[in-house]
Amino acid sequence: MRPAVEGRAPASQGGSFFRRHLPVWLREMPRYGPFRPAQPDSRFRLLDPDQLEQVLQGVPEVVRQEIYEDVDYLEYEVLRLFRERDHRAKMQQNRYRRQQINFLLLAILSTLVGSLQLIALSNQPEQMPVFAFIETVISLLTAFLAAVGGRVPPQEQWLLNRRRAEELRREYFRFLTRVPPYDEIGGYQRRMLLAQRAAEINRGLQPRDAATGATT
Amino acid sequence: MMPPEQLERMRLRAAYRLFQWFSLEDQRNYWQRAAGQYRRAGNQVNFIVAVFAFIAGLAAALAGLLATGWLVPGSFANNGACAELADSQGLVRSMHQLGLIEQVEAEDDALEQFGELLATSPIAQARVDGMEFIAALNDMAGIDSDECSTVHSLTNLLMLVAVVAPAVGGAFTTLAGLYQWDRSANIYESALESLEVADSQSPLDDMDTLTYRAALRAYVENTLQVMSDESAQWGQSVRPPAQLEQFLSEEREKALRATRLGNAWDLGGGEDEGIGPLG
Repeated sequence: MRPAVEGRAPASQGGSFFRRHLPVWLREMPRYGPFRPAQPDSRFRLLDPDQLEQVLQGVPEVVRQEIYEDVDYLEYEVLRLFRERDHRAKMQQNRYRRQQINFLLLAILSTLVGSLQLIALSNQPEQMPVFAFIETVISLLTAFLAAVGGRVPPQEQWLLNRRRAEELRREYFRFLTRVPPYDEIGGYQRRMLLAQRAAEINRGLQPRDAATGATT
Repeated sequence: MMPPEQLERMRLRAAYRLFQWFSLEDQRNYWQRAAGQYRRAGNQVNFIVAVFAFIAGLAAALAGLLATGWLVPGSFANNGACAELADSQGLVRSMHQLGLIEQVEAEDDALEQFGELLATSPIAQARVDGMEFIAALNDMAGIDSDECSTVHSLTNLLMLVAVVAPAVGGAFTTLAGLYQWDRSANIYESALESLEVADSQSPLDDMDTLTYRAALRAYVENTLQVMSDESAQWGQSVRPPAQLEQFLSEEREKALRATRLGNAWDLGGGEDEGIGPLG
């Protein structure tokens, strides 16, 4: 297995330096407060312009021109949708994890109160109503959080957006490398096919083939 | 002007380099980093769980040792002195509640006062030998009550740790279930192996253009398929931990019961009369 390319972070909209000094498991914890970035990063590219220039060194001008035109076209038709889906996926992932961590904290609290209740039962039975009240508050708070977060289930939204974002990413490279269904057509037909397929992926449909209209 | 076939070859070559650099290597980088990080996160959390389990066991064992050594009747370290002191203090409190002795500053004073009571009260003298009791009280005064209260506080603290530590350890186990670090790392490592297979089909410069095109297509298609398979597997691994699901369902039920109880109190009881004070 080859080692990861030195100094090259994977293309991502997420901040790779977030909590970098903390243990790995803590870096994975959700953010509380407003999600950042609040909007998709409009500067995000799957192809870094400097690296693209480096990769295309020695490529004839006419081919370079074609590739840059494709990249420009992909920017609007695919990358725009990808950024939105990717951002939404990250936001919903954060929401899902935050919700689960909240439940986890409430579960710890509930276990602690239950355990203390057991200890108090033998030492200070007169304290029992206080513990019962705290237990009830925890239950009500849990039910409240579940009701508030249940309207738009974050897990479902996270997976849906992530799947579509990844499919859009694959479509991006399919078009750029001219593999089927982009291999036997050219010009406006190839571009229209991309626009159509990207829109279908974004809607959650199976994209259609160019000539036959069948799903691929 | 470059011949069309040569131009086509350059186009295919550029496509290969673009895909290799921006798709395959990018994905490889991501999976390698993520697999390494997730393994580390899994190990860290596993270590934390083990530490809390150790702390819980140790605290429970120490609490047991302190109780049997100092606090229970016949304890091995002080021959049950703390237990006797606690019994006597309890007795003094009861006597105080019954009004046989007055409010005192400290329990040692109460013991003294109780001794005086026994020495002078004809009722008490009828049942207890006052002098013998005073001697017993003097022995009791020799017990280090500070030591007893320190050991008692320490035991309580250890019992609390023995209760809290498993709860925190359990929370970290649930956290590992939520993030699925080990499972995700396995998926990424498996995907990396499949990616190597796809990468092995990459086109070579000495291939003729037709073969180069076919190799490029196989290479791209297979790489994209590996990515697609990984997404599908990863999606299946994302689900809330069973412990949290169970907790949620139990708490909802409790909340529902509490709400029903509240309504019954407000409305003077439901159909099954007699729940609230107005029922």
